[in-house]
Amino acid sequence: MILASLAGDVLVWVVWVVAAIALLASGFAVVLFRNPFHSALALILNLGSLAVLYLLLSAEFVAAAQVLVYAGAVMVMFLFVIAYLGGRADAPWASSQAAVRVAAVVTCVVLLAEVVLVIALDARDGLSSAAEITEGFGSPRELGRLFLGDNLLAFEVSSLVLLIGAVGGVILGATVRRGEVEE
Amino acid sequence: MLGPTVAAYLVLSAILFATGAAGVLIRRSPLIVLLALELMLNAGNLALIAFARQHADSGGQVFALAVMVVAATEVVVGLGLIVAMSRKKVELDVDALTELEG
Amino acid sequence: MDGTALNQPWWIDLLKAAVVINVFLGVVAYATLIERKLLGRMQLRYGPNRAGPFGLLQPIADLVKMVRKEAFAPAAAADLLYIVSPLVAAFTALTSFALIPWGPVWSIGGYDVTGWVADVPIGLILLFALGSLGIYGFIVGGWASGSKYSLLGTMRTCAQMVSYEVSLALSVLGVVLMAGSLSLVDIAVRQQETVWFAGPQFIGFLVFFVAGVAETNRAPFDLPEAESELVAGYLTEYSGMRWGLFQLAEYANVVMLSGLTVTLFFGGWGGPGLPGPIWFAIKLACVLFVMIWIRATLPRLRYDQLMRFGWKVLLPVATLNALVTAILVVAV
Repeated sequence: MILASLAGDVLVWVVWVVAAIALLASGFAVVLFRNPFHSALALILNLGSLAVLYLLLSAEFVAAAQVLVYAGAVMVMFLFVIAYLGGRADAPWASSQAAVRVAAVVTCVVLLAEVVLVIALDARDGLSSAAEITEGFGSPRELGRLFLGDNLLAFEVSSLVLLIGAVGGVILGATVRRGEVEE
Repeated sequence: MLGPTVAAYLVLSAILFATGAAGVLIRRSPLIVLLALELMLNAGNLALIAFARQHADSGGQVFALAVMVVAATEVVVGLGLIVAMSRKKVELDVDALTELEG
Repeated sequence: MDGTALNQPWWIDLLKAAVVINVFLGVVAYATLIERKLLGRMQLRYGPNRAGPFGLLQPIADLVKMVRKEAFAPAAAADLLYIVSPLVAAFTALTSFALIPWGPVWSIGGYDVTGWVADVPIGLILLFALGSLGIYGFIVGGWASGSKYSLLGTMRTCAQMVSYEVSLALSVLGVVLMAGSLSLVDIAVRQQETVWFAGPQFIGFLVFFVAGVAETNRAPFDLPEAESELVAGYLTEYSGMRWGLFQLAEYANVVMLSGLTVTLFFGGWGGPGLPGPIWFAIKLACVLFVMIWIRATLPRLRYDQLMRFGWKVLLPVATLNALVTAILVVAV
């Protein structure tokens, strides 16, 4: 019994470490690669490792939605635009002044240190234990109940946001054709 | 909960967020800026899901799905803008696009 | 699935996975032969019948040919991505076989052996997610080939696949509403208890089938691979076993789609008399036959006709079907 639970714990730790390394490595790769296509591929790997972490946190529907929507549709759009733009997408790598680059990195490191400090201070008491979850936690049934019950407004506003996005996308794509015809 | 505590996930989320923020500030191509922005949004999502697990409250996951919706829409509009810019032969360099500055 | 836990240790799962993957790979390989022979017969000629009796060794001959061919890569190809793309396409296509149920639960020597490798509560969404990931094999392969024909073919293929994916997902919404679950096993069992969903969900079935044929790049939606138009689309710069992996991915997708059609609309493994897997095989063969029949019969759609059909006809029909089903399920 103890051995089985220990084995389960070890497996979870192994998966977590692998997913965390993939997450951080691909995160750095997105920011550091020169070619936008490679950056986009690194982001896809990032989204995949995030989905694994969501599975470890018992959020199975969100993990599947992440892969289906984010990694499967949004990133395809990104790759389309990058392939369409081809060479035109290569701007100079970073800001010309080194001081600006250094200042930006320092700011982000300070921000990170601040957040990690707060987490470490709270980790002893507030974050040390997780509540017990029920059978249906993270299932589509539970999320559907919440979306159509407590969070109905969020649901309706999300659909409105999607509609605006779709209409905006069509307008941004169509305006140019009129411009080309006028020439 | 098996495996590491929620604090470990939060630290991961913080590092990812800082990386995305650095990417937005350093890179000049609007495409990469959009990608780094996606990193930051996903870091926020990870924090939301971690907290949802800690308090056994699925509301965090609902919030994360709504964030995903907003992120998808923002990507659509952003990419549309970039394609329109490239068609009008505007240079794809965020440091050069300063017309609305000041 | 049901409340009681199954007595199925990990080594039975492993054994089953090994058997399933090999059986399905065999089915995929011989699906190529069946297609060529059926196409031949429909065109009043014999299909391949030289390699072995009735051409039964043809897939083996094809495999030997592909493995022995020179894997020629263009100089402009990006190495790692170029090599990995066929792997991604084949991997996502083959992983989907783990989710499709082909038999009930048997009790063998004290252990419970299920007729499926994995039953996930969100099985249907997982299948669609794997399909979405499969697109990357094609998109990255076409881009990494470094050739204009490949890039153009890739763009067309992926735009088509993404467009029809939406209608595919919407058309199964009716089935999910009627079964009350996203798990493929639950859907199959529900159909065996009540009625095959191809009856009440007839429109959903038609939309699913058409969208599925488009999703797997089969005729009449196979313009991205049309030799007369784009050389070979994203396949242009691939040869040897890498090309073979892409073809494997395509046929695996076809077999997986047929299996999914049987599970979602024709009751899975259900049927009187014969054991479950036999019925599943019979139904799978029927769906495969219809897909090959369509390929032999219908002319190819032009690209803009294809996109117009997907967005302006199929999507509204799928949405209406989901809406009407939702109203009827809630009201009745």
